Amino acid sequence: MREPLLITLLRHAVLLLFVAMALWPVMDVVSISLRPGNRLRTTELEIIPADATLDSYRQLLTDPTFYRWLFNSLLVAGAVTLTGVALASIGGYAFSRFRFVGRQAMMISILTTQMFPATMLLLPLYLMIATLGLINTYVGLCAFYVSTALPFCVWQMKGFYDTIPRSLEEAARIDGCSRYAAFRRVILPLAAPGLVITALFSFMSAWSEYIVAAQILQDREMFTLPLGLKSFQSSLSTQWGLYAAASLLVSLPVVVVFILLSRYLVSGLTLGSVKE
Amino acid sequence: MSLALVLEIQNPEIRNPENAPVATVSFRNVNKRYPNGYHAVCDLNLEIADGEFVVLVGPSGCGKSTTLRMLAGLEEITSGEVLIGSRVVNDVEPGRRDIAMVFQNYALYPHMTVRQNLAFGLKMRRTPKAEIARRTADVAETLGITTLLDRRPRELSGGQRQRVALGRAIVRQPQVFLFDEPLSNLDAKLRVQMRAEIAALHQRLKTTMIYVTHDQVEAMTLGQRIVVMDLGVVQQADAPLAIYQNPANRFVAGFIGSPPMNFVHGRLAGACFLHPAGEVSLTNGDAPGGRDSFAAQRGRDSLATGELTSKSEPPVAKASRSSVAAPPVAKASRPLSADDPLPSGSAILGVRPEDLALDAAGPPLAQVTLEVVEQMGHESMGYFSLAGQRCAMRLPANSGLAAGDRVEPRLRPGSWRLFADDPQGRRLL
Amino acid sequence: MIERPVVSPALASPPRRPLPGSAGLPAGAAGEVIAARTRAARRLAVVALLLSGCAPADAPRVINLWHQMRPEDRAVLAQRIELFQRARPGVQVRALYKETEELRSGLVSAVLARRGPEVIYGPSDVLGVYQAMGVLQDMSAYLPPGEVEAFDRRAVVRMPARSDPANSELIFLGDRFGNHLALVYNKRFIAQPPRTTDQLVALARQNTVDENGDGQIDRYGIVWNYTEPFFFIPFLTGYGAWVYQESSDAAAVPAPALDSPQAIDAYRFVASLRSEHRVLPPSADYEAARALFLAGKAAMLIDGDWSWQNYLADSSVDAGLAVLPVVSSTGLAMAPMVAPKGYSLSAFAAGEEADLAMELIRFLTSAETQRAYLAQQRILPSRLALRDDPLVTADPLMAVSVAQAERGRAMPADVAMRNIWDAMRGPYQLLLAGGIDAAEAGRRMQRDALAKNQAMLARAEPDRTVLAVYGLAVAALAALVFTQRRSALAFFRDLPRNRLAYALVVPSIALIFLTVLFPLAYNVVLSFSNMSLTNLRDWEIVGLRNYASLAGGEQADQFWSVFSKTLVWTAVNVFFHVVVGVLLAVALHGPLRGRGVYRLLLIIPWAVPAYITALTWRGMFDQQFGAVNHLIRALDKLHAYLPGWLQLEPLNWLGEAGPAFAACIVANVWLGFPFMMVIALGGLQGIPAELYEAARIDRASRWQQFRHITLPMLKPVLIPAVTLGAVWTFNNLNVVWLVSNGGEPADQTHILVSYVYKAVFNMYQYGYGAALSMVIFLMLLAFSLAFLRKTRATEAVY
Repeated sequence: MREPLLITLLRHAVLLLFVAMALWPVMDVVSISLRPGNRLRTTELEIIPADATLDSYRQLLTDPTFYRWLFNSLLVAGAVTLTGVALASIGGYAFSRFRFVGRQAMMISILTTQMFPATMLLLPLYLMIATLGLINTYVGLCAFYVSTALPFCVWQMKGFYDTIPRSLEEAARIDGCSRYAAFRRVILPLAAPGLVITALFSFMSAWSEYIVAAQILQDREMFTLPLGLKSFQSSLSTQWGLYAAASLLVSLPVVVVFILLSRYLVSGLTLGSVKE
Repeated sequence: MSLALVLEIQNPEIRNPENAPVATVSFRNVNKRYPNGYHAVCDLNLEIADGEFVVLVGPSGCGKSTTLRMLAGLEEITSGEVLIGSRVVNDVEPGRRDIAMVFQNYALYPHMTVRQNLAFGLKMRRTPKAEIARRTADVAETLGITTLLDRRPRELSGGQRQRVALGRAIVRQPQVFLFDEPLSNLDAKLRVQMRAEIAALHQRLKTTMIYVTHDQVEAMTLGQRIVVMDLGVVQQADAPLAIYQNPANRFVAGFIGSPPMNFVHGRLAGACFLHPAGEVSLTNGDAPGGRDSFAAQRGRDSLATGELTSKSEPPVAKASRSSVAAPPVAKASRPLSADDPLPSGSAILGVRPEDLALDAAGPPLAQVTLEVVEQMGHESMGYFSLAGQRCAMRLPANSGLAAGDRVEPRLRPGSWRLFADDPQGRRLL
Repeated sequence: MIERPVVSPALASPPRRPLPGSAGLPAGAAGEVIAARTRAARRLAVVALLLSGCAPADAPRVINLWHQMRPEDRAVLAQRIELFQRARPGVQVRALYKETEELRSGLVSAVLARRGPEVIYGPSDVLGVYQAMGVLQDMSAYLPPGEVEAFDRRAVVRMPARSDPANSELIFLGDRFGNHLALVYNKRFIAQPPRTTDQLVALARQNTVDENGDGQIDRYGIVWNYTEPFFFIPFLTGYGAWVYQESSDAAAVPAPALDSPQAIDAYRFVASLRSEHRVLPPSADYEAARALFLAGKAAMLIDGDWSWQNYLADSSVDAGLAVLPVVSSTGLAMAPMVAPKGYSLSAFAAGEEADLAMELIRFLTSAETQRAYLAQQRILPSRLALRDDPLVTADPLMAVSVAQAERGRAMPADVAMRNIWDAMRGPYQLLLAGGIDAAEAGRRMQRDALAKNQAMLARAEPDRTVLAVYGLAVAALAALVFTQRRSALAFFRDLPRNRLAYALVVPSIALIFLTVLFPLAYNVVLSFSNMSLTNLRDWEIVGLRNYASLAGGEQADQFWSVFSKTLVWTAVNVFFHVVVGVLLAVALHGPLRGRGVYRLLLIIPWAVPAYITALTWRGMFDQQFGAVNHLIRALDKLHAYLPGWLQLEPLNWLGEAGPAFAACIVANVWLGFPFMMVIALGGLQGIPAELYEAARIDRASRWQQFRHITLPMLKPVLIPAVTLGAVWTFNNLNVVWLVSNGGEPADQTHILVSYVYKAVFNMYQYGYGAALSMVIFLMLLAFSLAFLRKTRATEAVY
């Protein structure tokens, strides 16, 4: 049965309206980033100002430290993604396939960690990192990022594994794999969409984090991108154009990655998906 | 992919008799209890000979799949021993038991091509590449899937997937093949075709095969021996025909055969079986198989059952789920011999539909009214109610009878069985 | 630093159980496993190496300097540090800019961890807090006699020692004067800057005009940053008032005087500018005020010394600078606060580092350094000798600066000053927004200041409930042991069977528990303690006091009002997330031209980092320059064609409690709907098409199909998502904090987490904050467990 034209138009109308709303703030930032320094605040309703300038971008992109920060951010986010995915992929597998003592308790307590206001964890966490001598290292920072992203990732991977029939690894075990080999050779390749989403979340949580990074990293050379960009801002006078340009530059990689992976998003995000 | 093609290939490479160990399978006092307390398999004892084709059959939840999975190593054994050959395999990894298994949902690796699926088990065993290639090609040819080798499972039809799953098992040349309801996802026509192919496969390979199904037709057609299970207990293990003719108890009698055996509740008084709608005189001459043949049958029974002895527990009928773990009841699991006097008291008369006919030589069952007549072509089936029980009988195809007609079905001499009217429902005669 | 990769037990090959009868099996399998493990270990080593960063071979002696220097001044700082380092090989100065909040929380952490910067640079107003925390040490021993005489005496701060209040310590050496406000005016509109407030009002009225006659004011008479009470101080002093009672004893905590009649006159005057003379724009934060002036939309501006140069140099306005006028009714000059900025030696510096740090401080406060700042950034030096430098005397800007600074009053540096600011901020913003009158503002400020002083300085002593706390702890432990004793046994029995499972789970669990469990336990302990500003290190368990204050008392009222706001916040957000998400998912589901593009664009809000989004929305809700009001004004032009509900008035979004809260919700709804949309899309794909076919055969309408098939079938997917969404929304600090700029206006836009944040970091009530977060935690836990149990979705969460 063909859809009535009216319904199709209605769908387009709803989607267009929300697309406009989704893009509005982004356009606003784009617009600010293009304004010359003396006209950052304007009462005009225009997206690309008449006197648009790429000064803000030029200023950022010619700054060698910008690249240093970019590299640092990539390093940190990359390491967090790798470890996060590695840990979540094995942890989630155990939760999905094994019935061991303490499984339920562990799963609930992992969930529980989401319910604690994160701001209150900062102080004790800092103490711990300082005691371990990890101030101003990426190890401390990465450990924190991984552990904040892990609860979601573990559950997410568990949910994904739940959708893979068990008989596959049983077949593999009969074919001569150990339990671990069955996981690695058969289940892991099949979990790719789930892994991609897990990686995306890990990456996002590390890429744009600011508060903890500000506590742990002391050396300007070691700053991550959000930290570095924040240092463009001073207490009272904000360089809005620069900040807007920087925001876009920080967001860009995440948005690009997101868009590239968006086809996995629906299939890979198995929140509450029902077992086949 | 025709049957002939399968039979034609008698490649000695595929099965190598001289260095193959004897692939007997033994279950000794095997129990399976799940952590939630469910007793899935109770004290199972079963010996399977080398090269035998055994079918485990029973309704869902009867423990047949659990039994198979324990043998495969996919399910832990709570107590008892499982042996393949002379080796206790309780703690052996599934991959090292030298078995192959075909799963109900085929369990083909979706990320591998058919070729890789076939080769995976060999690769895991470090078989040389050339050898893998050769055996894969052989098997593909045998099963007629050569053209599919570079496809992925999701591009195959159900029948093709089933074939690949079969190939994956064959290519490994295991000591024992395990089938876990392999045909239940196929349509009726394909099922019949694949059933024949599996039978042919066994003919050719002569490997021990254990086949789990809930379909009694598959069990009857495939098995050299059928093991009927219910509630985690083996009810009877015997050759298909022996089971059909001499079911050990009411459960087996009702499970094997389609339409199922008719049961009539009643009372024995001497040679007379009284039921609410009348009486049937069971003269001695009518005893199953006659006096002599019955005795002979008894003898065959004990031979064929071989090691099957449910020592501690008699077969338990379906009626009493709670009695599964109950202590053993009396030892009287054997049917009465023809010399024994007929017991008196309540009993159940069992007659298969094909043994009820209008023109049979035996005594009449009762005057009944046909409720439904099903025309099958070569014959038709008439259904009626007797003492609240739905019963079926065979009618000639051109009988002209219709629903509402009154008829008087008669028993075929020697075709009836008597069962105890208790939860176990063991066969009395 | 953990640099060497440690091969964890999980990676080392465990002893393999002998396999009965496995003699004939390929031996390669075990070897392969081990090889794979070694490969994994090697990969791990590479990662660890990357993570450890580049540790220099022979470490130089590092002096850490945490500073709050304007971006413009940092270049000078960098030059001077470079010079300093060049003269001392092997010494590295690591200068790190910290925002006010970061500097403070960083120092709190530093005190607790006993590790921190050697030198701190910043304004003098926080010294009281630092001294109370024990962050600073006496510098007098390091300075040659007579050195401090060369400085303006307001730039040298001494305070009573922490251990011995009778003893005063030299804790601050200013290198500059500043933060004083003066009047910046646009010469195009104002020929002669006002000398009195009467003139100021007259000029402001003349310059508040609607130039194009569209009913909107195009130019305002005067503007300043309304959000910070600091900009109000000149009015206060002009009316003869001061934040403290003048007679207060120097040693004690000075008593606030925010409700003195003079102060109320000052509030009244400011309010009259807005309500009676109507010369002020309805709202302005710092940025807005600055932008208005630069755009020629404000004739006069009150701003600080840090900014003057930019205005004078800006080509878009012809700016002039003048000292603030005299208040006509009192004859007193409007006197801004002046605050030195300068260096302190931190308590973390000891031995050689302390010597080096002092060398650095002396170098950075030296006449040459100050002259460099003066020359490059026209900064008012703290060394008296430099005041006669031609760079000062020959410069009109510097002349005004000096004149204004001379009139200024030194900003108090004691602990209580922070409470004054916090107490003033809310009522002051309300006053300017027209919410309360002058007398009420004064009353509230005074009340809040007293309460805050009390809360901050009162040190709670242990009471009888301490016993209850210990009793609870023992009981909890006992209960744990009692209920879990079987589990432990079962665990040890299970261990050999499920070794692989445990090996796979342990890394994740260990990491999560390490980073969450310890802080959680710490927090539990803290919630029974009296930890606060003055006893960061020597706190003790004082009982159930913190919890009790949640149940009753003044803080409790606030708690409950915030709590109800949080419920509204969570419910409204989650409702819109789900409704919008499902609506879009339904619209996207099924064949549609451009479906892929729509989906890509619709997930963008999810992809943009949340803090950027939040700040962007804050900008968009700006009354003057924000895109939201632009849109409303644009819609207004079409108003003849629009239905009534779309005819909106531009609102002062962030200046009033209701709209500000609504703004936060809008921003958060925007952020959250793509997640629900994706979840719902996944759910829709799982609904078999036959169901719809069957429904169509049954002649179900589209709406009935949605109601009876789509919604029920989406439920299993949505319920866990809603649970999680509710928890995340409840705990979402970022959006509320950033959009409302920390609870503005007047702390009326708090949800529980931001309230905790404020309690902890602004009020130093660590114990109270910890108790509050425990309550939040328990509430969420109860909610999620109940919700999930009811919907039987535990297995399917996420």
